[in-house]
Amino acid sequence: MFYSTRSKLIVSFISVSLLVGIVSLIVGGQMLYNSILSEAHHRVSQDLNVARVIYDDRVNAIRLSLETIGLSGDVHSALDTGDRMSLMSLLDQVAIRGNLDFAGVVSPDGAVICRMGAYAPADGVLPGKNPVTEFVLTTGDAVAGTVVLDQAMLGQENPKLAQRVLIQSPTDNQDNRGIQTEAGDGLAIAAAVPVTVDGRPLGIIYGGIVLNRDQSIVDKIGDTVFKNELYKGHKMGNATIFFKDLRVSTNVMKKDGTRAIGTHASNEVTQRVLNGGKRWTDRAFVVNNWYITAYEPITDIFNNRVGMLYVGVLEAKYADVRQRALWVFSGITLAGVALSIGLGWLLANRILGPVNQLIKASVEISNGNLLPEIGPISKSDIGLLQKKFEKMASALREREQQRHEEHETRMLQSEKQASVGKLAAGVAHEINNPLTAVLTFTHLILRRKSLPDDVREDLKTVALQTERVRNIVKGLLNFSRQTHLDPESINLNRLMGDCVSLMENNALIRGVGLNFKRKDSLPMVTLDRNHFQSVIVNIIINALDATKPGGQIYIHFRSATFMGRTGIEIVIRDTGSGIDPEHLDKLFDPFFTTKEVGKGTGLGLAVSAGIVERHGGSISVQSKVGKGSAFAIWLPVKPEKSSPQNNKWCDQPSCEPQTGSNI
Amino acid sequence: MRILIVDDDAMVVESCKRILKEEGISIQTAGNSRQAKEILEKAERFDLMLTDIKMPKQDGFQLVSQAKKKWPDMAILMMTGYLTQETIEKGSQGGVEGFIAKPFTPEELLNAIWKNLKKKPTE
Repeated sequence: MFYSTRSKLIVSFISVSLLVGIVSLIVGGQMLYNSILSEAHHRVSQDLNVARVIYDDRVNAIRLSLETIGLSGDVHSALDTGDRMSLMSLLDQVAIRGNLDFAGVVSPDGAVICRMGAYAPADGVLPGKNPVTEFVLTTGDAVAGTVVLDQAMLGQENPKLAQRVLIQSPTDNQDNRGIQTEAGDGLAIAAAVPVTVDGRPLGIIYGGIVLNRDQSIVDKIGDTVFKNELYKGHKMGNATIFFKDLRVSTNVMKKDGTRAIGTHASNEVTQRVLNGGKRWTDRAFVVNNWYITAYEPITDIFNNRVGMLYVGVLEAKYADVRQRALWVFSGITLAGVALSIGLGWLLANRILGPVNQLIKASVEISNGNLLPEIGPISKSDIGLLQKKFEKMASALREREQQRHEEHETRMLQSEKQASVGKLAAGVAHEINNPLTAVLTFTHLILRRKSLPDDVREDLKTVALQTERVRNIVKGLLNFSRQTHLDPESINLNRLMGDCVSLMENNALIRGVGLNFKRKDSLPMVTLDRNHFQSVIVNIIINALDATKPGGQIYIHFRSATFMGRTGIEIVIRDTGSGIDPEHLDKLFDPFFTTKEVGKGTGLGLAVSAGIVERHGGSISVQSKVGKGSAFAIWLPVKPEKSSPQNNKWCDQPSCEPQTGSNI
Repeated sequence: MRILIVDDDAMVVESCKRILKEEGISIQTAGNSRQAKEILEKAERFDLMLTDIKMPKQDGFQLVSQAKKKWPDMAILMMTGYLTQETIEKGSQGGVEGFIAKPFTPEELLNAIWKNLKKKPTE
């Protein structure tokens, strides 16, 4: 089954489609993934830019609100008059409007005179400093940006803030990354603007937001950039603000649904972004999912890298796109395989259909049906085979027809022989008794010495004619009585040589040339020597009778096939009178003769044909009136078992060769 | 020498009789097997029996087998118009010494008789 052409065809189709499918699956899948990945990288990189803008906007918003208040006359007069209470109430308004965690006013000499919720008494100062005010005091310019506030500063600004920045990192105890945030430090964005009137400095206003646990920026990024889109229960994108490598503000969620504040960035990212100051864009495992991430450093107003800004897009969505693509590719491949099976089946049927039909036809032929159905002739190469097959079948039919006719002829011949034989036996018995009397008395009278000469002559004629009758009856009996064949291996050259030398004298007397051509390497044939010799001699005698003095008789051999069997043919050709076409059919019939009355019994050729046929051979004649005749005796080279009908006349195993079976 | 001729055809019997008489042979004739048997029962002895095969009622073979029982030393020559291998087989098995095909000339008959008698010289 697996070695059939159909299977091979289908398997090769499947192989090709599988190969193509798998290659396209691998190459296409990879290419698609790469393109998706690069798209995702591009997107996350842009998202990071947006996040940065939002971050910077927030910084600028603080600065703007401080600048606005710095320009207001209320602030100027309060500063001028040293009305700290009014200043504080103004600060509170700004803080509420700007959502500030801390804010304050510093005198031109750097002393904090007022803070949110607290003001120093007249001539007194509040303790503590703030990096942004220090910056303004140093440079004289307004400043806005990121700053790190230590616990002391925060405590002075607002004790609650100092509490808020305390973030317990779950890994603090065993953390040995080397990048430690000081316990209690906080990351903040802040601004400070100098307040001047006509170039005279009145003081500095500052304010800011502590980013630790303040989610406003990251949530805004989440709102604006990712629109809080969910993918399979997870936020599609998220953002984080790192203080150093510690998540202080994030919307990355832990498994328990709380924000992942207090967890650390991976060492690799920290090394590259915080220490190296470079951007990072790659897939990374964030808390509990794979993300396509982008990080960039956050620098404070003194240009120190103090933290990182992060955005990440859930990789699952892109991975799923790839997954889907792979499924689609696989589906296409499977469809290809299915298609190739179908196509292979179809093609195999188209190709093998006629072939199978031919196989069926050949089985039918071997079963004897010589007119098998071979289906419509295909236009392909198979068609050629079909045509050849048809030709073969028709050749077989012809041969079968020929064989059939041959058989019929033989049957007819043997029936003829059988009926003639019965007749002959009866006639012989009845005629031979009176003939005995005639012969006996004729001879007895001839013995008398006193007979007159004329009576003696007449009696001799009676005796001679009676002998003739006896010979006719004898021939008839020989024809009907098929004697046993005693076949032996015969060298045809020698046998024919013997026959020719037997007839040489006869030919010489008649003045006819007898030419015999031997043939080298002639195969041995199995024949009954005596019977066959009588056949040849009979034909040569006939040829001599038909040929005038000066004529020729040629005897030669030739290889020939008869009904598909190989054999050898003995050809005896004369240049005699030839045979009338209407006599050709009856030539081998018993009692048919063209010789003068008394010269032949008409049994010679009939008996010869019988002998040749009983040897498995065949005798045929070709003739042209006035040109001569050619008798061809074909004999099989391989000895053939005599057919049953040949034993009809002699079926006893002890049947011996008969004497006096000459033709 | 004594010879018994058996044939249902009177002309054949007559022919044989005439040939043998000329040779001075003592002859008895029978027209059928029954007659032949009667003669064989009565007679002292024949040197040879010349018999036809195809005869009505009892054929030559049956006659031969009965004759051989009575006269095992008697030579038997069978004559027939249709001499076949089968005939020769069957006759030989029954103890027949020779066969001759009809028709025959006087010389042929005498030759056959002398040939078969040689085996059993006259006493």
